[in-house]
Amino acid sequence: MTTSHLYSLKDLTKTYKQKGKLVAALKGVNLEIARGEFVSIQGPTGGGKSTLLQMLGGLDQPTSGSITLVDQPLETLSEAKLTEVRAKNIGFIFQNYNLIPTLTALENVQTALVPSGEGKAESHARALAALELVSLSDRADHLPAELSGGQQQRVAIARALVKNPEVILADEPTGNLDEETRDQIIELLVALNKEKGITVILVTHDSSVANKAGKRLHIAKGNVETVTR
Amino acid sequence: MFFTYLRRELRQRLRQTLLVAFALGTSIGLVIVVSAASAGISDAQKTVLSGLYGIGTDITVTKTVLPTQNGQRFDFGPMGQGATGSTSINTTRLEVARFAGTFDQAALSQVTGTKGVTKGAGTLKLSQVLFKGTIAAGSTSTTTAPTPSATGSARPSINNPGGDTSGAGDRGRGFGGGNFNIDMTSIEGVDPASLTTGPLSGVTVKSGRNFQSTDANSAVAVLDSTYAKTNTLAVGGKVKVKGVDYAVIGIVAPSSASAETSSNFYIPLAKAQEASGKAGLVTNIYVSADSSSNIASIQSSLKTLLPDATVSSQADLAQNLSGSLSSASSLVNSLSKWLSIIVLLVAFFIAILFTSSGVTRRTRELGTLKAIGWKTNRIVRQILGESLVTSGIGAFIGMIVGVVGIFIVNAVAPTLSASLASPRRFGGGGGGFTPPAGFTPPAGFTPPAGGFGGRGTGFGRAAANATTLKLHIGMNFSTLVIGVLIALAGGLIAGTYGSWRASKLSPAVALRSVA
Repeated sequence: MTTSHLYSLKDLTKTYKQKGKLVAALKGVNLEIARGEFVSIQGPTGGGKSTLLQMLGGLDQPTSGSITLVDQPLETLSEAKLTEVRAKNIGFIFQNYNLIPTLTALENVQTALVPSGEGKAESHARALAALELVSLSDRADHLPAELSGGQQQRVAIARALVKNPEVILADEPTGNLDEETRDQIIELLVALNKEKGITVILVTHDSSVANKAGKRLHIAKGNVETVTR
Repeated sequence: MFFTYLRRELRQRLRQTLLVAFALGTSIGLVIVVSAASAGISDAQKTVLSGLYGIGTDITVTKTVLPTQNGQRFDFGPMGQGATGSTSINTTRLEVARFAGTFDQAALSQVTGTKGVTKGAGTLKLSQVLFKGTIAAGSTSTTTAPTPSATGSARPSINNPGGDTSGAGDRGRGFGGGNFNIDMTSIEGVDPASLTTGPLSGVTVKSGRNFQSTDANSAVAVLDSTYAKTNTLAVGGKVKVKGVDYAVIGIVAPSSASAETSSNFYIPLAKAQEASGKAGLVTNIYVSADSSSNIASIQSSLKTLLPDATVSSQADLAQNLSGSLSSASSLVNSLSKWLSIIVLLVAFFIAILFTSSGVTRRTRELGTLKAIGWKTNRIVRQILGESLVTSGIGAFIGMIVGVVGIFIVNAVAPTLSASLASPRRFGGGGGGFTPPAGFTPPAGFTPPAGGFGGRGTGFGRAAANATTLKLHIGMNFSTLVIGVLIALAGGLIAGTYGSWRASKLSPAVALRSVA
């Protein structure tokens, strides 16, 4: 049965063993995220934000409960299958941009198309179009070190959206940027959400960024709450 | 993307790439030079041995006989006295070479009938001693022929029936002096119909001709070139075998210009057997094997077949070589080999260390690629590819280092000496006798300068077989291929370890390290 929900989390728990003790990072999280939503997640450090993002991104398996993405129960998938899901449906944006330092902006965007086995010409065209979308086509041949922080993050956004993902997961995407650049990046994400219908889930400490989201979540001590405006 | 990413990564880490490549290259170069030197030294050994045993001889069969306690004795019959009352001595002994035992010629048929043996040839090694001179009046002399010592120094002594080799002086009575020569010659009877195996198989005819099958019963001789030169003999001249003249039909030399053949001269086997009274007997059997891989099994079969015989392969004979060639062989086979292995291991360790640290440094990068959907095997291929290209550069450097190293060795061309210290032969030394301290020559006896004795051609085959040759090491294609393969193996090991570590990276852990 197909649902309109992109994500559906039921009684999701994640516990880690630290120094012989079990630490619960997520305690029975129930959450639904619809397609096309713009969701922000806030909360104190160590509250479970990163763990929740890892679960949503298929980077780690839950201890119990279920998490479905486009009707696929991620908790039952093998590592290889999860890799496929990530390659096809999920775009990541990181606080430190995580670009490959030896590759140009264009080649960095192309790395996201490698898993799909895109042809060289097609890959080049799509990567260039994605850079165009973030207004960086004129810097396609530049290495990350030759770009500013904001430009690097825009290359990272181009890398995330070039494969037309269902969802973009952003971990503190503006954490290392000045206010002006921060606003430009957030505007870009809002525009992608509105114009392309891409679901955006971002983790942030910055309330001004969180306020741009249609749905605000707060997570503390492993429990998620929806923040009402 | 694979090659773009690989090229950029190696260029980005150029210093590290070159360090690993140079470490691998230097070690591979060393391995190539050591392997080539080993092959060169092995060739040099073959050159020396082929001079003595002929080319194509894989195994020699001999029989060692221990000397009698009293050594060889000369018993002179009644001799006429000269006008001054002195006694003239002129006697020749022809007998089987010292320490050599004889086989019935039928053993040759048994040997050639052994599985894996393609050819066999029997020879009879003889030793001819000419004792010529005068002894002053009143002396009754018994002369003991030289007894070789363990080190091979031959010391003729007079009136020494106990075989005392110390040269402690005259214990006889009434020895009033004398003047005489001992001339020793090694003669080998060879079968003119079987020259493709044995001492004459690898020789070059310097003048005249080699034996032909029609020479089987002729009184003809082929001379070693060094012997011919020392004794100023040429084709057309004559040599005596037990008083009988043999016409010199040819002069031969082994392939190595400075080496000698195993005997001073060669005569037909039948004539050697006749002259020495050893009809139907041989002392040496030279064997050719059908394949080098069968030598050990043939050797084993022959030992079973002829339990009293000494069955030696070329490898066994090489162990009897002494001199700097032998030292160089030991150096290459022990120190250099281990040095190569150690350097190689260090190079491998450096390659593994840098590849591993590279993966650690790239944790975030590799984790990101996993997060965006790169399969683990693609990342493994990437790391492995980088490592193999680095080792490929190392192999290239190694080939250059190896070629330059070989060029340098050949330019320097170290001179190696070799002598055969075989227990089956007469000892070394110059065949001379130096009077010991305290030795007082009898009245009228004048020892020749530097001692007295033979002309240095008979006693010391080992010394006579001493040879020098320039070490030349060749470029061997298979050695280069092995060098390249070792370098790539190093890259493969380092890459496998690095990529194994990369494959173990969890994308979540990789991303968490960012925070």
